[in-house]
Amino acid sequence: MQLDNTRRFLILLLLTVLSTAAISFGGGILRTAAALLMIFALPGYAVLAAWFPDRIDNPANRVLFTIILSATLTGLGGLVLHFTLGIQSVTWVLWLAALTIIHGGIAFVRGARRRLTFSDTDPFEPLNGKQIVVIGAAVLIAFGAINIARTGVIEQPRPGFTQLWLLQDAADPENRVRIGIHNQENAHLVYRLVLSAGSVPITDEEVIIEAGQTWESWLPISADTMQPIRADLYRLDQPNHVYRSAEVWLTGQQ
Amino acid sequence: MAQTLTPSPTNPLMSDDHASAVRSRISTQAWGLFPYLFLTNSIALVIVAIAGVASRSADQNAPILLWIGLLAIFVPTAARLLSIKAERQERIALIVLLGVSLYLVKVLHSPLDFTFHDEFLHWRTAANILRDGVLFTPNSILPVSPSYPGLEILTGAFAELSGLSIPEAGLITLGIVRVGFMLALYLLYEQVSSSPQIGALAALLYTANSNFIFFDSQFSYESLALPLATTVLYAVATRDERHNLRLFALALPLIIFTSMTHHLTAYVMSGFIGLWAVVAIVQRRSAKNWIPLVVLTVLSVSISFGWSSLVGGTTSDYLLPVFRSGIAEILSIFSRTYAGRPLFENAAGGASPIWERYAGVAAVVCILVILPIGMFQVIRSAWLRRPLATRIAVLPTQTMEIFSRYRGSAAAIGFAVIVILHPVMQAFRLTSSGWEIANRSSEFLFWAIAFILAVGVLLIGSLKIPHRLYVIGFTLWASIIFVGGAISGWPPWSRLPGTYLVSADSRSVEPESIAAARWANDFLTPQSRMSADRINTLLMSVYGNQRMITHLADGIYLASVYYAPVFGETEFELMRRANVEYMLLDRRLSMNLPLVGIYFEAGEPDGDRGGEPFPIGAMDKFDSLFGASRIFDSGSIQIYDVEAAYATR
Repeated sequence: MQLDNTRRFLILLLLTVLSTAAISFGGGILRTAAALLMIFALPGYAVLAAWFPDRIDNPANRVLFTIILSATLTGLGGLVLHFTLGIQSVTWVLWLAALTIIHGGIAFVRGARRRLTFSDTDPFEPLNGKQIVVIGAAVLIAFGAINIARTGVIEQPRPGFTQLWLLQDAADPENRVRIGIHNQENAHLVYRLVLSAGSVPITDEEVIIEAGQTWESWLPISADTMQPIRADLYRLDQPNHVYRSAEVWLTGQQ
Repeated sequence: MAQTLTPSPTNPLMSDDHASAVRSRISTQAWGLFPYLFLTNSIALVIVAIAGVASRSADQNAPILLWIGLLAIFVPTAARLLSIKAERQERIALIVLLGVSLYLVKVLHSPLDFTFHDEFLHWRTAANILRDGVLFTPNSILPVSPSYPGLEILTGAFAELSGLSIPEAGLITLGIVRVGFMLALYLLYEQVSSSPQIGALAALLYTANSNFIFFDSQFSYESLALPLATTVLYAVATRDERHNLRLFALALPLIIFTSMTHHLTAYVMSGFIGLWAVVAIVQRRSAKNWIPLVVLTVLSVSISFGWSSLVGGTTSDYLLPVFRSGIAEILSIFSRTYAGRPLFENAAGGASPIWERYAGVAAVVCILVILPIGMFQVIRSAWLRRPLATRIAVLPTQTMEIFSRYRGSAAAIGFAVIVILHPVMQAFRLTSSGWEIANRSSEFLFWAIAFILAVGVLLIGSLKIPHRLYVIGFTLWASIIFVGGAISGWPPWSRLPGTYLVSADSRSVEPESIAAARWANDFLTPQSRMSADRINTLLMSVYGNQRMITHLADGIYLASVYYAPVFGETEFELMRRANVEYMLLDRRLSMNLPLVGIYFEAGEPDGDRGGEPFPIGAMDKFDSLFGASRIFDSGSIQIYDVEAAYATR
């Protein structure tokens, strides 16, 4: 790869500005690509060009040190930001862009003094058309493999379940309870919910919940009772078997 | 010797068509079989993905598919890298491809979220950094993790800037770092041997270490620290005696970042550089040669131990007990008071398939047979002051010139010395606590083992063996080491995803537990003090944002409370000391013995119950505990608010 010193600096500058803009205002793949450049490529390349020009003219060396130095500068940046500005998106962009531009500038000045033109000592030959087609197909198949695995996770057969909860209401802990049911049984179900205080029934009702849906209610309770409030949940297809149960002692009962 | 064609596209006498044909031929030679092996690797990954899907449906053939996929990745690459026809460019590309393909095997295991035990520990730390905007926030599920936040900073920065979730950002981060790792391995070995062939073969053999496919691909600090440390070693290997300051300027930030990423890797890296310096001194090399190595050793030791003592204060509490018990068990084996850990068996009594046991042992034998040959060649080469690779690889003139500066390489001899530790570490595999030391040392020892094996293999190749036989023999030998490594590093039940198993790390992470943790996140006060078993502790910490009580962070084993048949004063006292608000019961624990050997935490009291699963009666006692509220029930999982139950006693 042959690159003029000025052109190299301008490309570095342009990529930094575009990445900063994409991170600040963009979204999706563009923002991800910009973040990748900012974290894993630009700072390391700039530092390499500024201080270790002997390691930049070999493709394998260049890729290695660009990745590892970028990661290192980001990691050390985290430490610096922790003790100074705090770790946030804005401070990350500031740190990484400043590193890239400052070291890119130093590389430019040093290169200009020595009138350097950058060319690889052990260049990689480019791929020909046929090779590009084969590699393109390989990349597509690899993505296909990932897609198969992702689909496998989503469609894995799993036993369903129902969640039941019973809590003191945070706003009025002595007089109200919060009760909820979440149906994760892969099918809509009819439940029977029985609430009682000791042996004294409070409510007994049927609740129909679609698969993946939640039902929730707040019930007034007398704090006078010395018994915990108990919720028993039945499935209508198994009416004699308590499917889930929860119990709560109100504040002051114990 | 590989021939390099000189392109002449600017030759005015050459027609455009001819020039294009020449360029295409050069490109075909330079990249060799790389595009086609890329294609076969991708097809192999599809097979691995199908194995995962089959395993999720409890298909018994899934492991066979996994092994076919793994071998389809490894074998063609191994055969090609042995060939002298492959050019340097192709070798580098193949090594990177191999590393990334094997990384994707782990990604295909859990492509949507982190599911490995250690991944949750670091996920919590990364989430804390993103939430609070500062480092070193306590993490009770692995207190030492916030003290080594390198991976979490990097992933957190990427997640913050890209808008991706932590698992998505982590997967991409580790993929990129894997590219750097493979390059660093290849370049290090190539530099030390001055042979692209040795460089590539050694990097290939490195992937046969028992932790390469899964352990060092997971979202854990070592997965980042290893590439960093390997790059440091490469930077040291390429040092130029005229520009020592430049070496320090490059190595120092890398050493600092390695030290703030992973304690053990930083210590071992310092040890390697130190050994390198000692060898250089013993060799009576010029002071210019060894002084920079000594300075680097001092810097590296100071930084890594300095970071551990100033920041990672709990590191020794975390590491030393493992070493202490391992050594004690080895001594007990010698004094015949301990029979040793049964090999190829899990804690629940299950055993690995017979062929896996043979392959595991065969891999050890294959390594031990070739190691002395490689060591002999390296040591003899230094003794004779002759280039290491003269007889075993054809080198271009330029490489030979480079080699003349590093003949009798201190690094190569250092590697030869280190491999002596390999048989010692194998002994640790016979102990319960030392097994982890042996297993965890694999990725470090293989820095040296892979190199010495590659030298040994190529020395054998220089004998008059029919080429085809040599290639077949090498490929078979390397495949046995690779398969044996994968077998000894990761138990059969954890190599593929699948149905729920009791206390089996990634195999115990399933929707009901995750949903319970998400419920806790929505309904309970953040960072409430909660106790749970090993798996639900991870999930409640990460998905539930609860402050989990652990022995590592609190010095209390609440496992005793779970195991007790009834609540007594001892249990109440423990709960009081732990100041526990919620206790989680997973009734599935009573279904079977724990596959990882523990239900709650390493060292848990009452854990050894004579091969009996967790007693269901011990769980029922919570229902009759006066004052305890069962606030959540999802069938397998129940959460009890226990604060009032012990507060008034």
